[in-house]
Amino acid sequence: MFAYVLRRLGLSVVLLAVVVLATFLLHHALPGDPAAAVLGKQYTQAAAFEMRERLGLNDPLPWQFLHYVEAVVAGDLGRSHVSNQLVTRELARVLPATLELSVAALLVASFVGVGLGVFTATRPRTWWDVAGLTAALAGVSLPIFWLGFLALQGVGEGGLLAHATGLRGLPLGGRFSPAEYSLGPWLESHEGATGFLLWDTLFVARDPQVFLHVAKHLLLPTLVLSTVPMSVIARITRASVGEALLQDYVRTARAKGLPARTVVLRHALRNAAIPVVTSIGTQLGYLLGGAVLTETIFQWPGMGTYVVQAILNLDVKPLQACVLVVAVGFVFVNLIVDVSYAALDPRIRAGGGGA
Amino acid sequence: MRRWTLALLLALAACNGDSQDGTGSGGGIGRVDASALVTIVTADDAKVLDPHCTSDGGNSKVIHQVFETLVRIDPADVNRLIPALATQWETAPDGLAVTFTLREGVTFHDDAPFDAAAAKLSLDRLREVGFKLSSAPYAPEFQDVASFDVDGARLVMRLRAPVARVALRNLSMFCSSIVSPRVIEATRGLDPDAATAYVTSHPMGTGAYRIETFDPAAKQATLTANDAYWGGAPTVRRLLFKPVSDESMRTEYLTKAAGHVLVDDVPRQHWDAVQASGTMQLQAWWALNVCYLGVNADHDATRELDVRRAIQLAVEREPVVAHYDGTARPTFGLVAQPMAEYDPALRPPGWSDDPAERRKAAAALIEKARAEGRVVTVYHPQQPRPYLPRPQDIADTVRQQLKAIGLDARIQSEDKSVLFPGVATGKYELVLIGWTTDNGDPDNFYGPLADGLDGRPGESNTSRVVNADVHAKLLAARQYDEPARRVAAYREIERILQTDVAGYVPLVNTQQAVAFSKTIHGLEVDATGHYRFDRATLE
Repeated sequence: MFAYVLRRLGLSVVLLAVVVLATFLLHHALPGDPAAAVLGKQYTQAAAFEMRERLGLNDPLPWQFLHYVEAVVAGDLGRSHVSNQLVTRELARVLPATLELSVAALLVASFVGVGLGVFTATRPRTWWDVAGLTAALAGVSLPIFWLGFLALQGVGEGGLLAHATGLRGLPLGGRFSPAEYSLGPWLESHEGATGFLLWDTLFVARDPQVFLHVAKHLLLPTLVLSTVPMSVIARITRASVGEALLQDYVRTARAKGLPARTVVLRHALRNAAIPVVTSIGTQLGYLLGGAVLTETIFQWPGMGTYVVQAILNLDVKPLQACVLVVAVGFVFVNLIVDVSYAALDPRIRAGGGGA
Repeated sequence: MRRWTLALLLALAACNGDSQDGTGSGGGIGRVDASALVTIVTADDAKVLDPHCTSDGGNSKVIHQVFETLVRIDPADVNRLIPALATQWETAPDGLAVTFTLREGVTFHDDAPFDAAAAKLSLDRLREVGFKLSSAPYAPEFQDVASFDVDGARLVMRLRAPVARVALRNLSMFCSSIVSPRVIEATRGLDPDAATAYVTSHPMGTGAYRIETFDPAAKQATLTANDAYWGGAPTVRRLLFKPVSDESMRTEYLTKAAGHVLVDDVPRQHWDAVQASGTMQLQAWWALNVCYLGVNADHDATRELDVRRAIQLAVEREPVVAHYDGTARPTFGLVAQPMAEYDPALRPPGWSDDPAERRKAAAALIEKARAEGRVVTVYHPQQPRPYLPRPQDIADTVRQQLKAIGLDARIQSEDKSVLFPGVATGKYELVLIGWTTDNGDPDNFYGPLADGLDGRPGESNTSRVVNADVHAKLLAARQYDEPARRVAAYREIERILQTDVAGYVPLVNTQQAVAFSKTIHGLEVDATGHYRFDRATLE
């Protein structure tokens, strides 16, 4: 087990080194002159040269790379040339927003996805099965922007439901409404605040009313963001549980007279778990990097919104930092998934795996 | 399950309605009094609150609420300056100095007192005197200022040339905001980027509002009333800036938002709906801008004066105006049409009131220059600009007109990060571009767009040449304070530019609009589009 984890860890370090090189090269692969983007209307050749000097773009490439690695290792991700703020400081503000949304969406996707997968797998070739698979297909195929639009027009503030019922509807965007609660100053001044608003409002401020307010803001983006991973997880669960249900050990368990629930959950699902866990892990990685559309639609102040701004402004440092964070997140999640295989499957733990 | 989801959504939606009546919440998170709050929906978000280091419109909207300048443009008359932090000013008889009497009893948001030394510190920093800035976009505007000196309680601006009118105008721009001396002193020794970041996180001005939270990454700015404001504590207690870059999402706020709202940059197609609405009102005005076709006199494709004159005659304004949904009017001068210096009677040489005649004259000029079939490209920005809502369509209209006089015209879009440097280096023969003045002075049009330094064209001068006569006349015109003389001087400059240089074709002047709730009274909007809430009241 230890050797297995160590091997995976070593592989992760190699992957991270490649990622650092890739993010560095990103700077040079982007079209347009970063110096020109910084200067805008104030562009002159002299000013551009000076700006490139300040950004270190006039140094030889290997030298720039060494500087970059040195800075990254020291935790210095540079400054945004647009806001002049340290990228680490800005990331500390946007990352919790994205993590909170991604984790919420993944929880919804996992529970509903696995549930739907098991439900359809135990009713193969019935109308339930067809309906479940169709729903999963629709979830993968429907574009996020369309779903987001439907959600907002349907149950958002001033939307159809609000018109029909006279209720206010769910918030149109943001993590909370500064027009209702001055949560911003509280977050800045309160030492115990983590930036994860559900946690902060419930356990730090212990204010259920604000918690509810924050949860309402989280609900629509979570549901919209969870559709794709939910569908993927449902389809994979359906396939692998369906396959497990045909195995001999399941027949044996049934023959022993175990209740159907135990047979499905303890025997079939446990054995079908590896592909499901893999897909859940991969989906978290995608969610971290792929929440861009959902964040844009719901004006969610997370990394997706941050990345879009950085791209539009040719703001290289934040862009590099975000790619790095997403890549590190991916590597880390994969590591956890790999380790969890070992927990799930004794054959992997034993170092064999080829049985 | 679907039923459960619906029930959950309904429950939450209902709960949202209930919590409206809820009173304050514990745990230190304050409940906001929505009755004294105005939500300001803007197109651009603010990222930097250091007034000396930015020229960005999104930043300026917030900066305007927090910081103040010595003088400001009269919202009722763009040609007049009125007191702000200076109560009066006097120009020396030789025109080489202006002495300001400063407002007494004013304090910054960090309780530092406002005085002549504080004003000098900010005005020196903005000109990079004793400081190095991350970006000093406005420093060149102050090259005629020799120094700012403290004279007891008064501040003296000493000038290298008698250009008090322009220098005073520059002091009304947001870049001339006075920042707390404590904040500026704290930036000494920091590298320029860190200094800008420091001022952004400590934005201490003297304005009617102070920053409560500013989170550029989350695009959030909340401002609260400054009760110690010298003009009296504002009735509007809180301003909430909500940047929404998507136009259709921004306009949702025109109909859907609750409470007191101001929506900036309202697109034309929504004006009628706003005017017809029972809750919102519209304020539209002719902006201090010009959209024009820059014609490069130092480019092989447009080097001959005859070709440039032909282009001047060929481009019709009416088809261009048609792209603006009624928010633009034809313009025939580089200076913005609402300004007194604009000459409504001026037309380029060879002009005829009959468009067919004009086209014929233009074609003849092309023939004379042996330029038939010559390839010319109209470059235009990819992104819409306030004065250029549909760059590609407008560029194509211009292209068709150039084609009609025998040129092989094409269009090419460029990202603004490529376009502006391209203009500065004279890369483009024709470029569709525009200008909005920051200070409402004619010099702010002709200086950057038609002049240069030491015979070299300035970076925004699309003609890429400096006419010696124009240069001399511009230097002289800066010194004219008397309206009639000033107007005559700039009209003469425009005439020379159109006749001898033909380095641009002015196309249109456009309107700008803000919409705001009918419950907001006493809102002040000036010609540069900046609004003030300090004397506004809410129903």
